[in-house]
Amino acid sequence: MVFTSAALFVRARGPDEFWRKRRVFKLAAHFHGRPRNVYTFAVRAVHRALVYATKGRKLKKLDMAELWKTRVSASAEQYGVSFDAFKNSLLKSNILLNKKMLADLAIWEPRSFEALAQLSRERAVVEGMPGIQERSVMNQVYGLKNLLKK
Amino acid sequence: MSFLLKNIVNLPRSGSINQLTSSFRCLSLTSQLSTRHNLNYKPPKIIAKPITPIIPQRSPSEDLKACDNIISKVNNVISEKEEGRLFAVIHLCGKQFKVTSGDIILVEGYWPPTIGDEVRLEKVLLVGGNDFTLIGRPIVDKNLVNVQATIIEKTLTHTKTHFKKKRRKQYMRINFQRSPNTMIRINSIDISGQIQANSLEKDDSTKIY
Amino acid sequence: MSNSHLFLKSGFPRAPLQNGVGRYICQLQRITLKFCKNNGSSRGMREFIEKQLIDFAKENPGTVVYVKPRRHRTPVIVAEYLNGDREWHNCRNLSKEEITQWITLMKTQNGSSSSLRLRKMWHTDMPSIQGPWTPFTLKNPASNLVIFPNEELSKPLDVEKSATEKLIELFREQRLSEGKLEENRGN
Repeated sequence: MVFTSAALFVRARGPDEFWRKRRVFKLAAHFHGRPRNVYTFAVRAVHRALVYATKGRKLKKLDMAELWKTRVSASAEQYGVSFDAFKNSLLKSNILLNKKMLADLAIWEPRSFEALAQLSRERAVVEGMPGIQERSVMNQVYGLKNLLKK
Repeated sequence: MSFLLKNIVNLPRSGSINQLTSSFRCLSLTSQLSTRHNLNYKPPKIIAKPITPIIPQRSPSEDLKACDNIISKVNNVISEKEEGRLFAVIHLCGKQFKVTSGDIILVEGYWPPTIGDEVRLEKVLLVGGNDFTLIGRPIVDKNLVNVQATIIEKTLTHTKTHFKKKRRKQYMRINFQRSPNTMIRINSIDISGQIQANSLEKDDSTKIY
Repeated sequence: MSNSHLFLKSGFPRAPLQNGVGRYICQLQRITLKFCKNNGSSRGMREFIEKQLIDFAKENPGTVVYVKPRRHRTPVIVAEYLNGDREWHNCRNLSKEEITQWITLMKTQNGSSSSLRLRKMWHTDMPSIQGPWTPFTLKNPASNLVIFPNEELSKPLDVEKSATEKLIELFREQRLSEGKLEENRGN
């Protein structure tokens, strides 16, 4: 480094500060306004973002579990079975598919899901579980097998 | 005072249908309504009424017959190789995946097999095709289904930053972590052999879960 | 770092060139070990080269191994992959075991993976075998022939009984029972 005056020598605090700030600015590159350009604001915003990212990794798992539960209960209710009765009766029949798989099957493999739903329904009726509904206007179930060609 | 309170509490509890009907009796509705009384009146269909537990009234022999019928149909499809593309739900390292041949799945964390290894995934919870589904309780018979896979990559994840901070408490911690990842290619899902009815009803009391 | 900064791309699991569908091909094409012959920071690297490098080269005939001595510089591993990726790793003051670990990692991966955040742990070209669910999957096909506006289908699905209707019903029940009573009395 070349210092033309004593004042500049005092001000220049070495290369460390430059790299330290650059590390923060790199993470703040996509922020808007002063948090992108001013170090004091940038470092605060970056810290907050990092905390969110750390917490978010855990929250994402919870969110996904909730989403799967919603999907499975919606698709079980098509067949007049509540989520709890559906899951419990599958468990009673020793079928250990998890919520993610049930949701996947309900969306992508509806025939397999229908098999599971009917199986759980019969089991739930035998066990006398609550939350089993008869076919009605609300849950108009014709079943896929009526639609398939013979 | 206390007994009065007790009565007040008891009142809403005892307020059953009997009381209501008796009060209606006192009202003595006009005869206009009674003239419209129709004997052929049917109550509106009750929507979504709960089912009382009933045991299905089919005889066990009929059930067995229907079961055999279905199984022979599926066996027919399998023996004539008309099952088409199959999918399977496999359980691997604590997670379940729905796979078909040609899929890629990732296992997170340490897992010993190395690249180029060909493995057979034995925990198959469900196998399905276009026309049938075999549901395992909890897993499908090992001799029945064959899921082959190849390990194609073992690597580390991107660097995850574990950053904790408490405001106004002078507390800040930062850690970096990269965990191993294994990429697996599913090569084939085959149903080998015939499905047997009695294999489904095998006594599994000796199994350890 | 945080999940969405500009220098960390996100993506989905892919394998280059359908790797593993027929057979597996090691994606590492070339590996270069750079080290110094007398500097202490390359001691582990020198040990690795003396004891394990020949074995490594024999075990991996598909990989070209270069060894490049250079004076007074930090030891470095550079791996080059079939897809054109190039991964550079600093090995300053690493022991032989640590270097072995890094080299195994470079051998087993398909490209430089450090810069990609995976969004899914699963990839398929065939998401559905039976055809995905649609809102019409479980509907009666007869509804295809209905002409709208349709009075029958425009009704709400679930109409609760009003209080008047309930009253009328109760009254009828009561009348029936009273009628029976009167009949009994008349008899």
